[in-house]
Amino acid sequence: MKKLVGVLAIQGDFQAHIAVLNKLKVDSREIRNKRDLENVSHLVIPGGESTTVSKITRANGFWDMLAGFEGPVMGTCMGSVLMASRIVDPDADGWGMLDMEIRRNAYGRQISSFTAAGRIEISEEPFEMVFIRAPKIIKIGKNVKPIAWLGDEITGVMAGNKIALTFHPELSESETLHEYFISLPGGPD
Amino acid sequence: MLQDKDFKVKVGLAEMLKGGVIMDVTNADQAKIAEDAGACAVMALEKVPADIRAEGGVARMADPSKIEEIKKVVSIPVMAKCRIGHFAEAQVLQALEVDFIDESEVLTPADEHYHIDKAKFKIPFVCGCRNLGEALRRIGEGVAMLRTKGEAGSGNIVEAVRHMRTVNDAIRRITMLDDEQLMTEAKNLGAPVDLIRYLKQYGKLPVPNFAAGGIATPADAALMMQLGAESVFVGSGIFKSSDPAGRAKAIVLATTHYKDPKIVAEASKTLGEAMKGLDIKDIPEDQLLQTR
Repeated sequence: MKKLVGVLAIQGDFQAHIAVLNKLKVDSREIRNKRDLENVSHLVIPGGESTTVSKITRANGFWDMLAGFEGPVMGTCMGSVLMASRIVDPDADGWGMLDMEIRRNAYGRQISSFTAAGRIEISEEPFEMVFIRAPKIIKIGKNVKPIAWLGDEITGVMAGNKIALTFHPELSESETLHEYFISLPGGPD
Repeated sequence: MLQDKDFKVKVGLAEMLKGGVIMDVTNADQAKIAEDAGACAVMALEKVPADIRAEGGVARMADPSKIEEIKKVVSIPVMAKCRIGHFAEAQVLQALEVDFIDESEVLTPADEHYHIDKAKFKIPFVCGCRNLGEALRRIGEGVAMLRTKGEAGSGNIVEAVRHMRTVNDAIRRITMLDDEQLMTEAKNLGAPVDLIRYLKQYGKLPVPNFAAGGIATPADAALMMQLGAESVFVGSGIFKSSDPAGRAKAIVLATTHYKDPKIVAEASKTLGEAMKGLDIKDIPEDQLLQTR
């Protein structure tokens, strides 16, 4: 399957992801409806407002199609929320791509947004993590593997070909995580 | 300043609001309607611009208890407006932990000469602009987001279109200038030369630019998005229409699907009356909000 990265463009910082993908010279496409998903090998779910995105995507079975996407998926901030099996504050169901529970806006409002150097599994280098009204992963199932940390706190997880990050790698200088994501083989895990 | 970590966190929130609709609300009920319709943020204020225009008098920051009430009922970001130059109102809004502050021409200016030094605040700011000089001066003061001023409360898109085109034309012009011309361009625009150099290099503003001031229909939103707006603010357009919930939903859909006229058409059906609106020529010059 030819590599084509879809970036969900309902609402949020999808352009920031596309800018990174352009830097990495990989083809990408903005995804706004079911038709756009055709031939997409990888899917990125950006940051944004989960209430907005879930309201718009619930129409016409688009939500179920996203939830059932079989290729690699990387969700950042809001994306990680939608990928979870259980969302808290306010309580809702996510796509269940990863067996985990996640709390929205868990650090507080914008005044508590911050950047800090964290650690990622795939690199020795510290990774700049940007947290904007970020969620926190509060529980993970046994087949979900932590892959990113801020201090002792888990800020990124992976299961199969699904990656959920509570921070915004698309806003930091390093493309390491995007590079890793697009290196995953397309198609079902 | 553009490399500053705080600045990154501030612009970061502006990035998250892209492709969405930010709605003016005056109470908790309206905030809930906005969130349910898919707004990506709400703007808390005392009165919508159309009422400010109709009622006259001094328009100030909203009552803090109203802002708290709105914060309580929604989980999306809550913005609030302060008067131009009124840094004490901005301090109050920061103490209330709103997510974004709009130093807005819609309220009665508190200082006719100086804007707030926005870089000093931890909360990000948005300001309106009519042209590139204004836009860059506001960035110089530390805004994390710009918006067109348009003509708030008019229900008439013509001024927002003018402002969006004016800013984008001026940016395109800079990308074609020689390096020797940049300082004089900075002088002519009354703008920091570093930002002129930034524009020459990147061809776009270092902060998102949204549309505001006169958006009343789904097609208005689609128009502004196609002209280069990265999101839209809707003030009086929603709660001054006959069906606020329906219209709010329709404008959200049209903003996401601005490139798809079929969806915009579908969203525009059976919405009832849009707000009445004003011809800009009928507004006396001293009552224009955009010149503040």
